Amino acid sequence: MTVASLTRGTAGAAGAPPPWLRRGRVALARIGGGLAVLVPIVFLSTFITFCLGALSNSNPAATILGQDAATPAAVARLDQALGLNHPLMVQYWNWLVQAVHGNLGRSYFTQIPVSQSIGQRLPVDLSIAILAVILAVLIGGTAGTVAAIRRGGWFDRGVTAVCSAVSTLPAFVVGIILVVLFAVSVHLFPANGYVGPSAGLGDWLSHIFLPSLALSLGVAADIARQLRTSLVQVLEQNYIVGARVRGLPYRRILVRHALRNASGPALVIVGNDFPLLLAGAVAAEAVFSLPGLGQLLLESAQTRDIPVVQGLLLVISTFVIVVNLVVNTTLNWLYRTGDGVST
Amino acid sequence: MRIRPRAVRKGVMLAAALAVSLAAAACGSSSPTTSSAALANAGASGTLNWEWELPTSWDPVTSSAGWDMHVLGLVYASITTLDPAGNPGPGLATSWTYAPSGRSVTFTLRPGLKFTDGTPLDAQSVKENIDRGQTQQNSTVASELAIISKVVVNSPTSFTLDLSQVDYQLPYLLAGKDGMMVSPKAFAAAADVSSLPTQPVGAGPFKLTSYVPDSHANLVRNPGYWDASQIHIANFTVQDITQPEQILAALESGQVNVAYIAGNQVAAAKAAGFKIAVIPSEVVNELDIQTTTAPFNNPEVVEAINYAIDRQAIVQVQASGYGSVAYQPFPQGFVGYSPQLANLYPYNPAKAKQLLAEAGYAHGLKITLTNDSPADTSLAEQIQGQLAQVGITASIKDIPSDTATQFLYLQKTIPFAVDGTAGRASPVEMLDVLYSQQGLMNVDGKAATTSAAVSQALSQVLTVPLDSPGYPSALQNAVAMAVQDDPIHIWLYTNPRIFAYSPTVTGIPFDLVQQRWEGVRVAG
Repeated sequence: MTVASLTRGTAGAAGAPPPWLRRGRVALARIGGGLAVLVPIVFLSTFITFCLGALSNSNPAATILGQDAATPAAVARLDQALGLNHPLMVQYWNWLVQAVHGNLGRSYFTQIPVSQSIGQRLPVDLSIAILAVILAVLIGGTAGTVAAIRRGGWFDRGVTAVCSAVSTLPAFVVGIILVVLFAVSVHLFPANGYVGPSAGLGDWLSHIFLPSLALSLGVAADIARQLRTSLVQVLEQNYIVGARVRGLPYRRILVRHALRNASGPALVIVGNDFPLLLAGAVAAEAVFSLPGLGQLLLESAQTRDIPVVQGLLLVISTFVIVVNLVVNTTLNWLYRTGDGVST
Repeated sequence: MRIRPRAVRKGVMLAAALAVSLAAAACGSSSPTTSSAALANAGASGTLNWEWELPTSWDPVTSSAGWDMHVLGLVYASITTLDPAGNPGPGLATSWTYAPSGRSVTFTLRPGLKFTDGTPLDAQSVKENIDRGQTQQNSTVASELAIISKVVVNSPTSFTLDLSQVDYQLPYLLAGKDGMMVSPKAFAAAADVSSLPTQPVGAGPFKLTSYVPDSHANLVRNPGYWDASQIHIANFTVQDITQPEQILAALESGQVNVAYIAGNQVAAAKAAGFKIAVIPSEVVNELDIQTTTAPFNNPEVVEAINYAIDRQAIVQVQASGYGSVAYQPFPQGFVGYSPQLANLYPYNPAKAKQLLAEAGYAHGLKITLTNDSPADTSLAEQIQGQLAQVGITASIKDIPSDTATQFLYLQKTIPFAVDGTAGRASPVEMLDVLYSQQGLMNVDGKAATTSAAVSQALSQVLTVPLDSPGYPSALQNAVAMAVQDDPIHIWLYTNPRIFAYSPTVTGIPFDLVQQRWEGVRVAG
């Protein structure tokens, strides 16, 4: 035992900080840890992309100038304007310095600031991905819980069958089916396009509902299956049986004891699938004609529009790490012990 | 300007298209608000929703696709305007006069012209625009404008362009992006220049009111446009629909009322009650062939390939019959079309085999055909099949499209490739790019030289005034000379611009080079 731990032990004995403070400290430490992961990952991924761009033999200046104007002199001039005349390391350093100052540069091809392009498109994919998570948790959570409670029954078997079927369908196929059902047959939702919340909450939701639902069903199926399995195990634990023997209300046992302990694996699925939902939004963008990040990423990768690819990489990797951080923090909160620190 | 024909995708998304089409039909669409423009639109009404590709930039100086001219023409007026047959006529300038030497040309502008920001469009603005096009570091029009050595402002409505050589093609050039006038107030400061790609300020038939990249652009009629009396549409939107399968859906739903479609969509559009406009264009598919590299350095091999290709079959398969067999860069009806080349290489596999045998390849020949565009994969495969019929085994090599300019045009290291090109404002500019010594599309190896006869024909046509009776024959002679003497391009077929449009839309003009909207009306 070190002196430090002895000191902490003494201090704890003299007046231990309240659980909320300890929880806060742990959360802060985790956020700090997350940032410590974020920085090198972003650094590495953007650096690798930069190098791949250079290795790809593409010449953005020549492509921009095209059949008419890509004379060697014009290419050299445009290279200079775009900063492509510097050595690779210098180019990357220049980009990094600007990025740290919040300037992600401009697209080589459209001249539109990258931050503006991302700012315009991110809300589209975020709206869809967040609503998809909410729908997935609601649908998958309800189905999984009911299937676990009624295990072996017709509902349980039905959920298992539907989940297996849905898991095999890609989001774009689900999207087409949903369009046929809810836009063609019933005329409940628009078939394509996007309007922002500024155009009216109802209008916004009606435009994002079908793409979100298309994306959510696969995740909902995963959540349902995971939750059913873990809930069945938890419901057979002695402490649940004990609680029932003591006469605690079943709803309280289910919500406060069983679900709390069984929801961890399902939550991990949400954390893992959220980035996939953002990626899946690419397919949804195509099916529903949405101006989102996916189309931008596809186009900029095809044309080697490096500033746009780098900007998107920065945003997407930050997202993945932040979401994982949120999920981990939530898991720790769920599994917290009496002293406020997770086991 | 690499061509961007409407991609034809088959199979997988057909069901999606049908579903989305039916759904979209049920859901209708939104149109831009009209209140602000209502007063200014005396006599104009309706909204034209055009499905078309949005521009790479709304700034004509940094726009990186020749294709952009169609959309940029909505917000910018050019100094001259091309008529439906592609001949230059009045635009912002009512007339022009060349000095007897042919080394300078004086343009007369219309009086009282204004940009949509209210600033005057005069000779000084023209000078500032040309200066910017020539000097802005990321300009994509600098090389074309290099012919202008000096801009002299004579008066607010008159300016003279001094040229570095005799060039009677300038009125053509100033009808395109090079002649599109941007309000100098909009590029006065560096910060202003950087907003031009999304916030254009011109003096064209429409004014941009909102723009969402990759989605849509909303425009309203500009009552100050010099030819506003011919603009009968109050509101205009451009909607970029990336999936070809969804275009008919958008049309059926009323989301768009004029859509650019592929040849294989014509029947479905007709069946759905839409009208079809098949507008001839200068967009043409071809094969680039390096006649300095073996085995293509043997003229009989190049000739054999020309005879081995069944162009009519290609038009049928690649464009569902909507296109014309081509043996030259210009379509029939254009002043540069040479009747002499009308049936230069009729399909003749027997002759192709005979030529190959004479060239020493009686027992077959192996070559590589490079393709840089997924949209051309089917074309490459059809060519591969046709060549196989005469004993040529062509293996297809796919390369990323973003490396094509580098290897095909700059380094000139690709001997045989699928390619295509769209029209230029100036026919001599097009020939220059394709065949001249410094032309980028002259793929014939860096050390190769354009034949003296072709070089002479190209320079000669520059010195012929456009209104001279000898101009058509001089141009056609240059075309015939280039195509026959330097067979570095195997012309395949021209692609028309096919529009499917609602019966409520009338008067769509058939413009060969740049799509215009004068005279178009939308009922209801």
